[in-house]
Amino acid sequence: MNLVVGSFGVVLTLAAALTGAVSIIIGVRYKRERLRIVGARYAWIAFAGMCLSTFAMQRALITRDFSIQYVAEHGSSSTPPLYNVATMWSALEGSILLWGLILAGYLAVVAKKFSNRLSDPMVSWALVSMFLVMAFFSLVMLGPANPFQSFSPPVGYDGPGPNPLLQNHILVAFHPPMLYLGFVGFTVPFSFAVAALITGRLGEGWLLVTRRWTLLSWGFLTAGIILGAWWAYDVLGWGGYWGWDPVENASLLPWLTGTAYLHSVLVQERRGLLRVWNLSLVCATFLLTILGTFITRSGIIASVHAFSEGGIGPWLLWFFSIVLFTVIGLIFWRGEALRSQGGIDSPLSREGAFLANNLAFAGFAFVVLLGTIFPLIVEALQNRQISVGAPYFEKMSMPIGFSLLFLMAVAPVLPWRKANTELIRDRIEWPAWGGVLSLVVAVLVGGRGFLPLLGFAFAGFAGMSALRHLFLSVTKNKWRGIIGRSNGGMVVHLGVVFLAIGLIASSSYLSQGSYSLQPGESIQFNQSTITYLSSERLSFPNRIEERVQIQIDGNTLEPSVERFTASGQLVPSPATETSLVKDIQIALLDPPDEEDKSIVIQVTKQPLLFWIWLGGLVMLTGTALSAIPIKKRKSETNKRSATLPSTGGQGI
Amino acid sequence: MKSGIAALGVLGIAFIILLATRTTQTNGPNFDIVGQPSPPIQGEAVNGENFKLEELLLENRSLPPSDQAWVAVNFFASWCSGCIVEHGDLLKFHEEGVSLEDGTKCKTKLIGVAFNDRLDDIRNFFEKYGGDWLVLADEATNRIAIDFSVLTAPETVLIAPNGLVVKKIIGPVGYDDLATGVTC
Repeated sequence: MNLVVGSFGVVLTLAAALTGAVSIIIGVRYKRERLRIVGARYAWIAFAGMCLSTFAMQRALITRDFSIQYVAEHGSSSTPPLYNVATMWSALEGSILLWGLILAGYLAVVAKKFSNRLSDPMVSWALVSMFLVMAFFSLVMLGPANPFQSFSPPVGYDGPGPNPLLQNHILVAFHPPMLYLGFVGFTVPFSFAVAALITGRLGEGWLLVTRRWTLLSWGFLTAGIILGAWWAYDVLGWGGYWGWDPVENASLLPWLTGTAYLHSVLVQERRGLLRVWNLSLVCATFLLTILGTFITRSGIIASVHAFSEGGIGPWLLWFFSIVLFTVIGLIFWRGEALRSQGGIDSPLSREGAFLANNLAFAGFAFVVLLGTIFPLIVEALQNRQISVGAPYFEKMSMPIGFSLLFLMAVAPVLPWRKANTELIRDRIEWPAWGGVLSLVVAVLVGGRGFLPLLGFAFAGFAGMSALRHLFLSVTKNKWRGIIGRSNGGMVVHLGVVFLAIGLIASSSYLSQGSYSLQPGESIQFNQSTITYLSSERLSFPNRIEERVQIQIDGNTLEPSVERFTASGQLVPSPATETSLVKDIQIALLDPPDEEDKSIVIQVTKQPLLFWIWLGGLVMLTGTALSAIPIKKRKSETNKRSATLPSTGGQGI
Repeated sequence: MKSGIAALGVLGIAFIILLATRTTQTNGPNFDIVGQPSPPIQGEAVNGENFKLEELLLENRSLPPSDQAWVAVNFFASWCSGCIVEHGDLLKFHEEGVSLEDGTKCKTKLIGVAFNDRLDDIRNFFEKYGGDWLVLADEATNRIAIDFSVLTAPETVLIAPNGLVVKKIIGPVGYDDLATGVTC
């Protein structure tokens, strides 16, 4: 039953996506409006198909319907309810189904949002692009990543359950959907960029249309990445949150180009410059989501993330190639129309700073991409296998990160077009004092080392620059001073400052040690007394947990090691004491056993680590604030550019 | 601008060819490595010597069974306390080898693979705790750790003379853990 309903949903989506695309193309070609309107409605059918499939999959997981191979391989009668729901995205086929559901959702919302503008060829072509992407993913679900394959379970069969690492933390339920909402969301701006290229309407109209979609996707992607880092920190227990693993890099790459685009789009809106660059960034962001999925799912790069492999690799590579060459072809075709009129007047201007920011982000993305695929290049040229480790990424990303912090401080005080030194001196005074103050505070509380202190100074500089903007804005517009794009953007900047301080402090002043302890024994660690109190063994339906009680400065922490009965896999579950000032994490490396109650623990202390999560939260708040529309002054859009008649300054 | 775009296209083709011609690797931890042929181990040791498991296995083939070497591969780090715990047992394994009940001495070889570590720290570690076995510590060790699904140090695998992985010990290894796996 579930199998039939689920498969039917996928076929329905494929049929709806293809019919929708064809009907709109015919409608545009022969100017038959009715066909365009009907075509757009297929978006709802595609969405209904995906809802049906997702419902069937969830029902199969909940009822443990082992006649579906995916459930047989990844479900289990002992998986707790929440993780049972999350099992859908714990392996390849289910993840692609989630991708399909989200894409169909975006498709339906776009069709609804633009239902009164379906006669606009730009909207038509954007829908066609989205339909085609949808059709591709439906085909994948019928081909190499079919979530609804049948299986004949032997009597009494019970599945192994999802990967144990994905079964012991609540964040697993949210991290992948957030990431996918971000990844898939970039399909919308990409589709409008392609539509702009096809229709030749390369003015700022398509930017206004897609601005908020980009922001939304960027916000989700940011949330997904931060939640992933939080999960890694809380579950893996090595005191780290980011390992520069290919899978992590795959999520970072579109984030970097997306962030660059969110900045450079302002230059095009205000000055009509950087058109090719913006189109390229939007397309690159979408392409990088596909490339990232290819890299992590094809198995061509070894990664510590245990993803199941299948025949999906070549499909994604074909899709990537088709999209890449379509985009290159379209830009080539529209080359002349894309040429911006005019140029940047002075490097010491807002647009000059945005350009520098974009170069830094593009450089960052290049460094990460190169590091990720470098093992493939070496293998192709020298036939030996290497893996690029964290030192490369850290060495390369640090100067770029510092430059970005510096630009974040300077850009908001620079005026458009040209700045005179007096004006800059006047505006930069507050931020500069912010930097000095931050440096002094850092030194007073014991911060040492040239680079960390430089980082804190830049962070204070950038933070005060954002605060200055917000202060002036709030003084002028009251509470409205914190909403809207530029004000919300400054709140995002504040979040980045928190995040940067957290990253610098927690990585520069980390202290870590491993200790072997007998029950009742105490040790001194970094001015804290750690005592091993007792241990206990707890039995759960799907696992046995060895838990120990450890006292640290009067508080009791309970790290444990869980042994999953189905796979026999050992999963450490560290315990963390968190505060705004410092995090102390204790991981149980060697659990006690029947005879020998001695344990080996690893203690990690990192100052200001919580600021990373706090920064993430502030960034998301800022993203939400920037999405709130504010009444705009008379359009400042460059008169040379064509705008869509009904978008005005509101976008969507 | 057109020539720039064309150059981008050529670069794109080269990139896709690169991706398309790569073979699939074992992506992710292989927790079922016991009973399977050992992944390749090769690299430069701290003392500058080169080691290649393949060569040792080839040599094994030309020898009578009693002379074929068993290989214990110990993933360790100078920063890990579990590695200090197990070091005495590894010293014993390295110095005494394994003798069967009938007195037959089996040929064994111990290889260390440094895990996320620095050369100076490794040298200090061995100066402090003793031992002179071969320790691989170049860039290839990341790859070896991935191949053997090593999540954190210490972990030890025992490889039979025919190249099959017969045992994997997670956490500090005892002399008996290794010795009971060896026959000859």
